[in-house]
Amino acid sequence: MIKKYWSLLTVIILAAMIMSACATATTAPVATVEPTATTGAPVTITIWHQWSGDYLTAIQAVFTQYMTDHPTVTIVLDAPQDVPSALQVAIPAGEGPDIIGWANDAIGKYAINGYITDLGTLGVTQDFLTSTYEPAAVNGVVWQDKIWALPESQEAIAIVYNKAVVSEADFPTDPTDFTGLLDKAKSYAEANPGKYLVCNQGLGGADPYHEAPIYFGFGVPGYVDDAGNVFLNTPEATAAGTWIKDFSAYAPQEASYDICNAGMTDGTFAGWWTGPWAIANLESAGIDYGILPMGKPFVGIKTLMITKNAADRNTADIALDIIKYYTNQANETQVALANKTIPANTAALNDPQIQALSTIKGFGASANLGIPMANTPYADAQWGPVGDATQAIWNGSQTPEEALAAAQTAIETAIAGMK
Amino acid sequence: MTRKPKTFAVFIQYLFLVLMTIFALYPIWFVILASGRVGQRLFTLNLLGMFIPTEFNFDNYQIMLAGQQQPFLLWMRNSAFVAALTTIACLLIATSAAFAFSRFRFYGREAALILLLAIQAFPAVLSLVPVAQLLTAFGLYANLWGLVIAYVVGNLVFTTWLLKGYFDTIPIEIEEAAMIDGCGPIQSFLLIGLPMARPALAVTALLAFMGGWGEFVFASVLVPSPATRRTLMVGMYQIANSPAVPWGLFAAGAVMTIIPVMIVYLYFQRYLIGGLTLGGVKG
Amino acid sequence: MIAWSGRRKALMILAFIGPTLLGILFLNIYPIIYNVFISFTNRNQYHPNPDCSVLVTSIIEPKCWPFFKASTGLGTPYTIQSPAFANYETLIGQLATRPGLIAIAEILLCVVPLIVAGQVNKYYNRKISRPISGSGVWIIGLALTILIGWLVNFPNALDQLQTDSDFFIVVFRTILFVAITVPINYIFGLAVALVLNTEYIKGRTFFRTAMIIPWAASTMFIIMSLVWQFFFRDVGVINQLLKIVGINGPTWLNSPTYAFAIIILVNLWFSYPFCFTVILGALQAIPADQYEAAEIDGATYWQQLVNITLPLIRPAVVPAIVLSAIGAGGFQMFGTVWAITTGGPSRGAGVPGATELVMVYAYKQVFQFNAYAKAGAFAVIIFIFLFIMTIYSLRITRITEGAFE
Repeated sequence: MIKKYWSLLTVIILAAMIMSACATATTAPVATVEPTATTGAPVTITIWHQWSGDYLTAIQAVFTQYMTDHPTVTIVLDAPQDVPSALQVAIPAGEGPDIIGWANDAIGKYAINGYITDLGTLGVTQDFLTSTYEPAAVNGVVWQDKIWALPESQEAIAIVYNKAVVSEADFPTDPTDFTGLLDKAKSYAEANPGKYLVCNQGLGGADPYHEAPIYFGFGVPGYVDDAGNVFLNTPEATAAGTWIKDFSAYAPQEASYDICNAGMTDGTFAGWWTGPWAIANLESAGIDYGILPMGKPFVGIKTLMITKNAADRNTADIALDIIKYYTNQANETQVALANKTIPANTAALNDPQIQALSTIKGFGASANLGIPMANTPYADAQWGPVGDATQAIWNGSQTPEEALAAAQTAIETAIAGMK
Repeated sequence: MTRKPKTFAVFIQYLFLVLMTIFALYPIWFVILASGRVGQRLFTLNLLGMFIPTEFNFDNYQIMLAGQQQPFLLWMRNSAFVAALTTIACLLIATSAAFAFSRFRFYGREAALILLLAIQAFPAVLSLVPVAQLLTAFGLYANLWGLVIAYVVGNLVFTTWLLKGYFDTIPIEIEEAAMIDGCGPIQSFLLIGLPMARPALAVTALLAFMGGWGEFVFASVLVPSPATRRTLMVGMYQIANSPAVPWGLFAAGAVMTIIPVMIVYLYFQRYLIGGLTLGGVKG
Repeated sequence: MIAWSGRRKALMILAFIGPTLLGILFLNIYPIIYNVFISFTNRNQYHPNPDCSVLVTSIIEPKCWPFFKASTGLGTPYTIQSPAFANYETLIGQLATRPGLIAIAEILLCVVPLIVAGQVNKYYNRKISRPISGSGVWIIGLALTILIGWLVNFPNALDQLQTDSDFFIVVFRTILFVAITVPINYIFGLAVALVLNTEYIKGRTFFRTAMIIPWAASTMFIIMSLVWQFFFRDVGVINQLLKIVGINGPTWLNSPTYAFAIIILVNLWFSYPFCFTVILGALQAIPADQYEAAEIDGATYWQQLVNITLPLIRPAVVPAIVLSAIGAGGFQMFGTVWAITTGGPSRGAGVPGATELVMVYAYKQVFQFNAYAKAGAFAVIIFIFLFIMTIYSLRITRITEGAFE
């Protein structure tokens, strides 16, 4: 009788083996770049990133071109689900990626943890940075007078509206006119029941990055500054919180990237408060869009960092070469034209083709108004509490004053824990 | 109870069963429907489409199986590998330990049993990082074998107790008779103990398989990359958390994940009722 | 098995139990030691790396082992806290102060009548006749509890403990969750099992098979939880159904109470098949002549249920109830909550969210805030608590063994 179970288990194992055989036969090229045949001293560089979808295609093309030019190098792109936790186990073990593609707010935290290498030790100088990249981008990658990454693009969010449904007149002309925005949202919601003027995935979700234009637009200088001062229990912040509470009557209660995207496509939302990464989706949906700055958003710098393990594995020089290649003028122009992002490379930004893109004008104007995202570890403490406080305001658990006061205390405690 | 039933009572009972069945099955039905719809929506504005297949095609399945965007089949292979090995290892290890606890008398037996049970009281979430680092120190980073080891140990406590309870109900006289005929302990384990514990073995195999198939948190920490080595649950969660969720693909993947397990489950379910309670009484 | 002794027996036993003990030692006991150690340090995201020159650290912390490379981060290494118990102090906070102790005393006082009622029942059960029936005693005990609770202002005591202390908020919330979800699961399980056990219902096998399916899906909780989360979204199935009837459904997941109710509902969906399977198995073990004898004596359905069925299934069901209450389906519930609400609609910064149960809180502390020391202290306290509960539950399950006599 025991044979019955052995046979079932054998079936399971056989099934696993058959599936593996099938898998290797039928699996077509997947999101990772296929390794090419290498001769000489083959090197594999792994990049962990956060790019996805159509955005990724243009980026992949750059790396594929590099591989064609340098046949001994194989570049593998991968997007683990929870990069910070994965790094925690990988880096001390000597595993993990060689390059990390991430926004600059992680620089302080990764430097403290020892995940990334100071690029100065690899020969990158401050002069090189200032001569190649935009000043805001340069500021974003330098921390404690060391260079931790090379910037590749800048991003800021703005209101992207559907020209077929609304026009510029439906939005306030002054980016800091929030009362006007509230009124316009109200009249739009009343004229079109069931539809909303703007969808912001930070309101309803807990996303301080998307909520930033509102807070900073009301005059808050930043959530946390580089010295560790927190600015959340100020009257401006409370005014912003009250505005958010009032706005919740004329905006979707639940919002996420997914919901906003779907809503734009089917007409429920007239506008989407988002950044360049969403443009590809809107274009493929065939929406004629306009971009309008609103508030003072965070200006994030997307960067490429080199991990400490790359230095240990002696792949750091090749990795540096790759990220310099990626952020040179020609490639930045190519990626920016395809993905409609704002390049960090000065020469690429000043290229007339790029300047002519409407998204550059729109998002660029927004970025000019914005506040740069800090890369200190203090900044890392701001995300949780601000998100929680705004969500509490949004669903009515706390009044704006209480919520922001609680956030202030929480961030101050966290920062005290650092010192 | 053999009294003649009142019609009203019978009606209420049937109604209750039907409602509970709808409650039980509707989410699965919904996922099946969603997998047939092309596009980005988990929902459709067509309310009827949430209950009846208004449109159904297999595009999502084809995309998932062909692996154009995600190496779904590889994930499935990884999960099957991990689950199968977990089952076999768990059966071997837990059964032998349970047999020993049930049959032998040795110093510290009860203490060991209580230790086994009490160990489970520690929040597993907090042992994630130390265990991951421990396995990494043994060279098992991003290695499916590390997952297998972790799952086997995780299942050990419950299955050992279950099997021990079952072995307790088997009278010891048979084995004593065998011993008089010169049977050693290992032989009596293999030839007498195991065959008599079939229902409990079935339950153990089932629980171990499903534990290995469906575990998510530890897999996401130990095997985060490359994408071809992830397990199914981590991959599906990643799909559901990507910025523009391809819900149709997610639903198709979900259906393909659930159906095999469902089949295995239904195959084993007649053992479940007996196996669980008999083990549970003593355990 | 018993005949041989000495070294041969020891080796034999080792062969059988060895792998189990080894696995438990490395993967269960070591993390406990590690967490106990960490809970005395100040490890958080600003002091992430160990100071390997200290002997104890270099043994316990994996990053100090030769296999791993030394870290070159800019952060300062973590050290033992200066009052070593600092983390425990912050967690338990209020408890050591006078108002906290008073609050604990008040809460314990409220439980006293119930314990007394239990003892009184046990005393009277051994007697032939008793002045008050069993349920009468319980009702009096309950009434006394409520009276005392009102007198000492029980809600106030709870609030007192919960201010400035994440620990109590999370633990009380989890206890509340368990107290609601376990009875609901088993009552539904009992109802289904009773119906499925009656002979005149046709198609029982079909219903039984159909209702097992959520249990099969329960190990893939991530997927099904995401589906359930979808049902309760603003544009989800429930709200669309309500819209047909003309009601504008609320945003379920944004409201603390509704979110809590939703996770109880989803947990019901995942758990009731297990419950009814256990109960059904126990029901089928009851010999039919018990009911026939009762019918001859003229007992009603309800009397049969309470006096025959329930006591006879108790030995099989109570262990299951206890295990699920302190196990992954009850106190240690994590996956479902994480997938649906990730800790729940936020109730403010620095305060746990509305559905943040014990495990969710621990996970967030470790993976989002990297507050290892705090999470370690939390884990140790919870471990001690659950350890005691487990030992106590073993006593209970042995007590109920006598029901067949």
